[in-house]
Order: sequence, then structure tokens, then C-alpha cells
Amino acid sequence: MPRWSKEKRARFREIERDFHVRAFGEELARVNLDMTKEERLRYIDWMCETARKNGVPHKRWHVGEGYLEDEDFESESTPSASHIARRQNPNSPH
Amino acid sequence: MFYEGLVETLRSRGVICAITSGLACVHYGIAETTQDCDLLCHPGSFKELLDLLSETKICGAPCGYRGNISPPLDARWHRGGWTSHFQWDIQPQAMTLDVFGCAVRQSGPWEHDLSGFYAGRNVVAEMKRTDRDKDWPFITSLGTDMLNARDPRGWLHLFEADAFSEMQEQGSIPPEMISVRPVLKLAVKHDTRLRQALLAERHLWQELDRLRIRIYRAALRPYLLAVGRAAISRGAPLREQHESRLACAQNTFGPESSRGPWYRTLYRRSASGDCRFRPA
Repeated sequence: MPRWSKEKRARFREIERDFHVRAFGEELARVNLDMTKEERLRYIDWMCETARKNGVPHKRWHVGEGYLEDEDFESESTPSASHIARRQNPNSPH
Repeated sequence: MFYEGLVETLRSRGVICAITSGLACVHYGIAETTQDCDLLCHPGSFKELLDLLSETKICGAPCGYRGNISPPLDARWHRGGWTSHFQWDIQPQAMTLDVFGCAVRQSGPWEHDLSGFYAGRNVVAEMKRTDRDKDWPFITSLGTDMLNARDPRGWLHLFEADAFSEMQEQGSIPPEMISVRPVLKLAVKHDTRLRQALLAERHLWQELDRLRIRIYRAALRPYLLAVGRAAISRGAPLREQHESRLACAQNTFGPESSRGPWYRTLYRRSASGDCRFRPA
């Protein structure tokens, strides 16, 4: 298969960038398209660490590639993971 | 990266496996804020995977099953779409590994579509068709990336009308893709209804996923209670945890009861009209 011409490759890149800006915003478009994979991973680590420090909840459970939240089972008589976590952490809300 | 090393070791032992979902997106140039690893592993190799997890410690912490929800790593239930969850309890945050025997919504065997340590873009894009709004821009990104790499299956993963029209300026949609995804006919004709049709298509996938999760959730309840009653120690060796969960699964799911539960239930509900798509 012949290679894309230089112009065509540039146009694809432009379309891709436009979509990333529309879908994820300027900053993430730069992360996605201008950074190396290592830099991207470091950026994500920093974002996740900042979220964790600010108390953003992390847990989710796959069911296939769908998700259950711990809260889905909070009415169960057996304590769910989040119940246990709350019991262990007296400062936790609820 | 730790998980790439894990895949490398598994493959050296003959295991067919690949990293998918969020970390695969990062690999393909789309940042997703996840540090969880989702691993596709052929169900025939679960014993080797469990052996490796049993012997792998991180900062001295052994691997264990995560929470009460996780079904055991066993082909019988994974063939039915269940997923097993593992973690290493390290500070400041546990490292997690979710294992899939089957790639949900896969149109072909995922084992045939790999890229290095990772599942192919097509597999990742199909798995991302979840009920969560946040997953959908990733699918279109993977689609544009595939078209850029001259993979025509990228046309199956564009869910944004503007991306469609821009991509169409660069090349036409092959007829074999149109037969797989009828909405592409509207794109070919530059029909103004494309935008709404793409939205409807996405809603359909999301509703389907919600229904699927509801079915799994109902099936999971007795298992969750059984695991809670079994009071399996989190400090127990992984093999011991596994045997206890197997016993719980055998008593609650039945020997093969999870084999394709959602397909069967969806078919039954669809036949009874219970599964009709109702827009919000």
C-alpha cells in the first residue's frame, strides 16, 4: 500500500487534533498528541495523585467491561468494600 | 512499566494475554486517568496466571482478590463474561489488576488482534462501548487513529458527525464497512440525519450495556453474600482465597450457569418486549 503523502498525513494530524480539542480540551489534546508515552504516563500519575490527595473516590468494579460501583451493593446485608472502608475510617462521610 | 513486565513474563510461559482498556488507550496516545490495569487473558491459561500472581509481590505485598464482588479466575464463569479483580495492598494506593477472559462486545477473537503488549485498537474500541458517557470520545479517537493507520475498521468507531465529514474528505467508506454498520449509508449520502442517527446508535449501545450490567448485578448478589459469609481472610494466600471463591461460585452461580447469561437473558427479554429501547 503506498504511503500517505506529506500533505495528507498533515491533514490527518490536523483532523485528529481538532477532534481531541473538541472531545478532551486543549490541555489533554497536547498531552495526547505532543507528549511521548512516558511523558503521558507521568502526567496521568500526577493527575491521579492530585485527585487522590483531594479525596476523589477511586473504586469501581468491572462486570465485563461495564462497571459496578461499590454503592450498587450498599443495601446488601453483607458489608460491601465501601462499608468496610468506612468502618475502618471513622472520618469517612456517612 | 510493571504491567508490561507482567505480560512479558506471562507470554514467556506460553500465556496469550494483552493489556486493554485505559492503559491501552494511553499506549495509543489518548490519556485516560486510570492506573488500573485491565488484562485480557485466554481462559485456558488461567492456571499459569494465578501461579504468577501468587508468586508476585510488590514492595513485599502479596497479590489477593479485591473485595467481595470479584468472581474467581475460572474459565467456566469468564466464558460467561465475568471478570476477576486482584490487588496488591501497597501505599499510598493499591495496585490493581482486572482480568477478562473474553473481550465484551468483541466482533472477533481478541487473540488475533494484538499490538505488542496491548490489545489491538479495534478490540479496545469495542470494549469501550459502555454505558458511561466518558468512554465515547475515546472510541472516536481510536477510530480516527485507525483510519490514519489505514485500517478501514476505523469507520466502525467514529461516533462524532464532524469527525465523519472531515475523514470523508480524506477517503471514501469501503462498502464492506457499510454492510457491518448501516449508519454509514447516511454518511456516504451526506444525509443531515447522520448526527441524530449516531446519537441513537450510541444510546442503543449504552442501553444494551445498562441492561447487561443489571443482569450481572442480579446474578452476583447471592455470590456476594456467600463470599461475605465465608469470611475469607484478606491475608490468606491467593490460592486459598481462590479455592474459597470457587466453592462460593459453584454453590451460587452453578457449575456452568454463567455461560452466556446476558445473551440468553437479553434474548428472552427482547422476545417478550421487555427490552424495548426507551429514550430518556
